[in-house]
Amino acid sequence: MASSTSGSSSSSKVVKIRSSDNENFEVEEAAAARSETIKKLLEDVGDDADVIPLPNVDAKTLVKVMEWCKKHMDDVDELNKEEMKTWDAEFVDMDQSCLYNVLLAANFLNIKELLDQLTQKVADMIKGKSPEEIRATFNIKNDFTPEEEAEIRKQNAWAFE
Amino acid sequence: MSRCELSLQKRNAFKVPGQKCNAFKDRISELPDEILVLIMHLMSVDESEKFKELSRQWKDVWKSMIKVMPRLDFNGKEKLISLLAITDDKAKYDDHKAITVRAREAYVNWVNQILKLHESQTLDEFSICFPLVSNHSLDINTWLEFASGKGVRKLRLDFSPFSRFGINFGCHGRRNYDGVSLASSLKLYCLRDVYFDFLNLDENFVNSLLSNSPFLERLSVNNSKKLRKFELVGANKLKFLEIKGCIRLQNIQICSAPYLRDLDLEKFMNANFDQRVDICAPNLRSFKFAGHSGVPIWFEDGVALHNLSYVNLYYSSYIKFDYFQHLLGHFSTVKTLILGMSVLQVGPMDLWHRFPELSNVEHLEMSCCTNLSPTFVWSEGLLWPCALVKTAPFLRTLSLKLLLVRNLDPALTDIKYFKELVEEAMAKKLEKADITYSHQNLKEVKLDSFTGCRTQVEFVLHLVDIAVSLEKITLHVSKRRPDVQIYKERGRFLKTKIRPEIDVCRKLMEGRRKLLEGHGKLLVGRMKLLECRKNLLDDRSGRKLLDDRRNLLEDRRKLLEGRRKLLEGHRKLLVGRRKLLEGHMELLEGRRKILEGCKKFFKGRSRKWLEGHRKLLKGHRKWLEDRRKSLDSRRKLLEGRKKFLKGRKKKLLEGRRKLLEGRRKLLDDRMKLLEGRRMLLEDHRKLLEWRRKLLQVHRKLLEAHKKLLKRRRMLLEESRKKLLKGRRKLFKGRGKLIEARKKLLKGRRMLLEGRRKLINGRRKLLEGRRTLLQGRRKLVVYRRNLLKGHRMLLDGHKKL
Repeated sequence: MASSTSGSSSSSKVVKIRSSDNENFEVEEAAAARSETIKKLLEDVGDDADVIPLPNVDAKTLVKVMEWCKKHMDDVDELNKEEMKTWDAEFVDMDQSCLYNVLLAANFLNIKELLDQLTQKVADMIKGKSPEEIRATFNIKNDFTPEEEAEIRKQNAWAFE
Repeated sequence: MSRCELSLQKRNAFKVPGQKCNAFKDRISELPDEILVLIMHLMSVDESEKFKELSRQWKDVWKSMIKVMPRLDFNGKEKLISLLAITDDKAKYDDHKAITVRAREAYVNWVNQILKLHESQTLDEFSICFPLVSNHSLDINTWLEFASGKGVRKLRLDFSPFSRFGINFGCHGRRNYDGVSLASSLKLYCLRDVYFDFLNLDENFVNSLLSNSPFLERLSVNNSKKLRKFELVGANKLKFLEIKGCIRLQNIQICSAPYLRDLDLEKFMNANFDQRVDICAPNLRSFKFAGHSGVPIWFEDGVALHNLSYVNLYYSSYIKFDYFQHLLGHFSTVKTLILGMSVLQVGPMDLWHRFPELSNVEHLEMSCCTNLSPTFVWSEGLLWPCALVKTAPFLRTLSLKLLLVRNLDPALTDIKYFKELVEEAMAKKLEKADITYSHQNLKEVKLDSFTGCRTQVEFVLHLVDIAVSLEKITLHVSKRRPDVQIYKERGRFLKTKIRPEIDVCRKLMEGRRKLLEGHGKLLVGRMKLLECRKNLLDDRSGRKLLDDRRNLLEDRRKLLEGRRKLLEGHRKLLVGRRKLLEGHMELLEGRRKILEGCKKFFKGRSRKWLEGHRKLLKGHRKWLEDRRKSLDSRRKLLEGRKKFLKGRKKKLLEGRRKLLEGRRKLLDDRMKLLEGRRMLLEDHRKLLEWRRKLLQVHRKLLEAHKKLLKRRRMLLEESRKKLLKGRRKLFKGRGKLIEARKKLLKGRRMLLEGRRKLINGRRKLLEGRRTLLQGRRKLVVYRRNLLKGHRMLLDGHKKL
């Protein structure tokens, strides 16, 4: 397993990855292996892998994701948990288009922990808000007629008048 | 990877990220379904329903999402609260009730509708949160069957009411859902986590749940009014167990729970005699208990709780010391100990040191209050924290909440009696508790509701005294005013307590006054007696007294004779001593002779020795001269050699001959020297002989001394015997003197009796005189009357 060897010997071992806009990155294997997708690719291809192309992730997003991977490269012990928590909270606090891209990238690269953090962030953005506020937050256009909207509101939850 | 591909096929909305972000574009709608599911998964159903209202697209997304939602969380409580809040203060209780009933219907319908939409074969979590009652048992049963059919892993039924205006909405006591009809049929094989609140579950339901769910890890049963018994028997994987507010619960038996880590038992307020909690959970890490002190907790003996590190105990009333001690014995590994007992019922104070050592406790939190009943010394409440701190040598932080400890009314503390009572008791107890030592690890102390009364201050000072490495003390000062009622009661108590004491004092003072009066009378009497005696002596009527005195004088004479004899003995003793001194003188003379001999010896020695020495020196001088000569001869030899070197053989031979001559002379000189030494040795021998003689003289001297001592001892014994004889006679004389005095006293007593008789006679005489005077007075009256009669008779005669 790549991840198991990463701790000691592979600190020098580097994986080359290429973003959708053809920028090459060199990442430590232990960090890259946080992504199940890359890990599987590496296992399939073996050591003679040249450059792993990631056609769905652009350079800016990839930098962000790899930043997270590097931070979470090693297992966290009890002492650093709090520190890590605050770091994660700061990391997740990004603008929406960025959040969207990182979310997609995390899904594509199959990084479960990052995906959990990002979805939680989105859920927190939605919780406790009215539909109008949610629309405003995410730039969603209301294409219901007022009648339709009233109808739906009536069905929703267990509202009664 | 596979998930990603799937999403690509599933939705065309997926686009290559990185293209320029359009601020007005709805990006979140473009997220793939699986991400949206993940997001919705984190929200309750009613929250996710908001998606339906966003747009047509979102409505479709929601509809497809809800079919496969792995988590169904029906939270209706917040909405109910907001509904009731709309019709807030104008509405009366009935309106609220009506709203609650209607809302309940609407809620159940809503849940049913959503469940109809759910198509997935699996369900991770099913959660209901609404104050439902048994009216909806059928619906709830179908929900549970639905959840169990889909292999639910986490089940949460929270039917707890919420309070508003002091009314519990939706709480109907006996009408709570009980799940009786489901008890046997429910198959929750995949269940891992269960939370029940306000369900009237009985032991059958809980038992079947435990036996049907072999993978259950967390179980929480709250506010069940039917549960009477809880038994955890047989193999199970339970890690977390919480039982709260089950008011009819009597027995908890946790027999074998190898995985149990957290145990939370709260609100055991129903104190029956047969209530009991048995725990056998070797891997327990945290233990919480809150309840009536009548509920005994028994940890299985012999099962060490190696991992137990957190304990929180709350008792609603007194607990017994023995029991508490027993309980503490199980907590040797605990690091955090929280004790919320109102009061520990303190046993005899000499038991304090029998607290088992809490060798791992680092954080101790306790609430500590004192009973205000009259029999309770108010300061005791702070003694047992002291004792606990002592038993925990590695304690770092101590947090103490001082409940009900109020400063006594100053008016009461001013009463000296009470103060002394308290202080004395306190001092005694402190002495017995033996809390003077030094605590190495205590760093932080926090006192809540500090009122600044004396014992609290003393407690803080005590901590400062003992804690060597104390860094921080936080005092939260209480602003509550003392409870006036309690002081009134205390005042009453004090009055009743002090009254008898005062009464006793008053009686004592009266008694003393009488005693003093008696004394005064006694003194007057004595003075009179002395006066009488003086008179008596003046009268010289006591001849007997004189006789006695004569006897006494005779005795004294005898005594003096005895003394004279004693003096004679003394004299003899002195004579003996003089002889002793003479002996001493002889001894001294002997010593002087020894000294003279010594002196002679030294004189003789020095003369002869000097002579020898002089000869020795002479020999030496000669030797030196010879040496010089030998040196000269050598020089000559060297000269000769020189000559020999010049003139060879003849001179050489001559020189050798001279050399040999010189050598012969040298040998002669040496012989003389040896002779001189021999003489010196002879002198030495003589000296030694002299010394031997001196030693002989010494020995003789010592013998003389010994004889002297013997004679002295004999003399001393004789004189002592005589002295003793004299003293014996003296004592005899004294005995006679005492007898004479006794006789004197008897005479005096008789004298007093005689006087008393005399006084009696005089009194009688006075009485006789008085009667005589009376008779005379009467005689005078008669005479006067007679005279009057005579005068009248004369007048009559004259007239006639």
